Amino acid sequence: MKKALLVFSGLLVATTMFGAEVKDQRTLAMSTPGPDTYADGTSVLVGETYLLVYVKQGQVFGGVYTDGSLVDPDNNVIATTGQAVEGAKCGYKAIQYSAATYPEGGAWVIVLLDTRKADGAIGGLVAAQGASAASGTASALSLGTVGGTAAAGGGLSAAGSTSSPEGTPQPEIASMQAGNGRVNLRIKNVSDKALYQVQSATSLNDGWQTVASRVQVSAQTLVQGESGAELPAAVEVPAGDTVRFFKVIAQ
Amino acid sequence: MKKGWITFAVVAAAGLVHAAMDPVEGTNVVGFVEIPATAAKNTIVAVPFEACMQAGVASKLSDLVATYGLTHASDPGSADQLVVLTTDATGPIYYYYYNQTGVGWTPITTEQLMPDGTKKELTPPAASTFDIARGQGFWIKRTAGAGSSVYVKGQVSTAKQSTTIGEGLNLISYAGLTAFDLNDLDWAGAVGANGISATTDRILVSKGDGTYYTTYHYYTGGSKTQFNGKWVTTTGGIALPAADIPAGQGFWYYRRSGNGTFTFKPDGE
Repeated sequence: MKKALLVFSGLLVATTMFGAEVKDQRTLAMSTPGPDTYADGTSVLVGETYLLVYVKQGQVFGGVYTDGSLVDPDNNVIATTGQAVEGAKCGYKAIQYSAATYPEGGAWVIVLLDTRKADGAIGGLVAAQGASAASGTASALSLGTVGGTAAAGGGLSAAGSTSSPEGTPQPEIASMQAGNGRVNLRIKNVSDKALYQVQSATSLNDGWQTVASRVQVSAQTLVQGESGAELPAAVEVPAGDTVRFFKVIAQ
Repeated sequence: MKKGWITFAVVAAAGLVHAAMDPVEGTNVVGFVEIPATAAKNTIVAVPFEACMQAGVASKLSDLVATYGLTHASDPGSADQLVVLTTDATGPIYYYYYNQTGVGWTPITTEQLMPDGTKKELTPPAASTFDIARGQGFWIKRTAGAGSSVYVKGQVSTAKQSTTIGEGLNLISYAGLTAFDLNDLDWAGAVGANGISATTDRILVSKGDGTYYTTYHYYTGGSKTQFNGKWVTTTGGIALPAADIPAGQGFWYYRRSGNGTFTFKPDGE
């Protein structure tokens, strides 16, 4: 009994001592087994962005806006980011953090962002997103991981929509040039935090279809027009069209 | 002691829950309409659009009429032209523009022969500053060459058309976006009679080359009650128009002297 008590108290001391040194620090690693995909089914491109998001206890992950900011910053926190590596997966990244910063009881999610621009290159605004299932906070004595395992099956898919941030102004088509199977629009009242779509129809009543997407403001795209800064958007029109209408929407 | 163990409570969540914000709709819709304009012929056109970003505002000629597919040249005589009937202090006048190579719609200075025998130079304003209201008609004068249509474009209006029609000849149209039947429009204010009359307003629709026209009279109060309040032809018998007028095509409205001015509101009040 005495021996058991000694062993037990020793273990407690050891735990206490170990806990006293690292009780404020937690560690976990983020990665995904892949292959992760975009909504169109294609594999995530090397360099694509992942977020590691802490979700406060009792809350859920609210998503991100097109500019990458959190929809619910009061209850979600972006702790760090990761990048896609060969194999269409989130590259392994280990972090450590203070327990006070991200208390136990909350949860972690990995969020895959689709930042592909209209030309297919990554690094633009967030057009779509996908999040892993939330997993619990690691404890002082554990090595946490976030992102799922290969055994769980299925990769992460950026199939969820994003929205433009609050306060995005209503866009307006400033001018239009037509000819040679192509229509060139100029859009005014644009934001560099929003993604724009051009929709087209042959009737004002219905049949609107997206003919250009992921149109976004950048130093390369914005031009000076008669009424100030304007965002060009060019769309093809079917040969033989006798009438067609266009409107623009901020996603 | 329990604290020392790994605790992973895997939450079977969908992974993403948020109240999606509605997309932000743009404030306007723009479009284009292709109007038949046969090469080597003259066509009356009228633009059904208004200026971009300016609801209810007339558009500039250069913004309204695309030069795509039209013949351009360095000299006016070899290029397609636009001819606009407007008014100045002296009365009705014609402004001419040609599709100048590399430039677009360019004013042509014309010589106005005055009643007193003098001549006056008439230079139109730049096409980029000249207003064309919705429903206002003008000519496209095409040279021989390829292409059989002209594109007009601009902002789709949400307002109803309201066009002033004065005594004499008015070059106008219904600023709709689809082909229309003359008798589907509201013609309150038109003056008619039961047949051909010196007081009857008339509509003249080109038969295709701007030289020959189908003439319609406004029939009212006649024994053929099925035609009352209708535009009819009277050649060989009273009849309704045989075909719709294509979107973007204009016509002459001849308001008889003495009938005064009225406001054409084809979509009603």
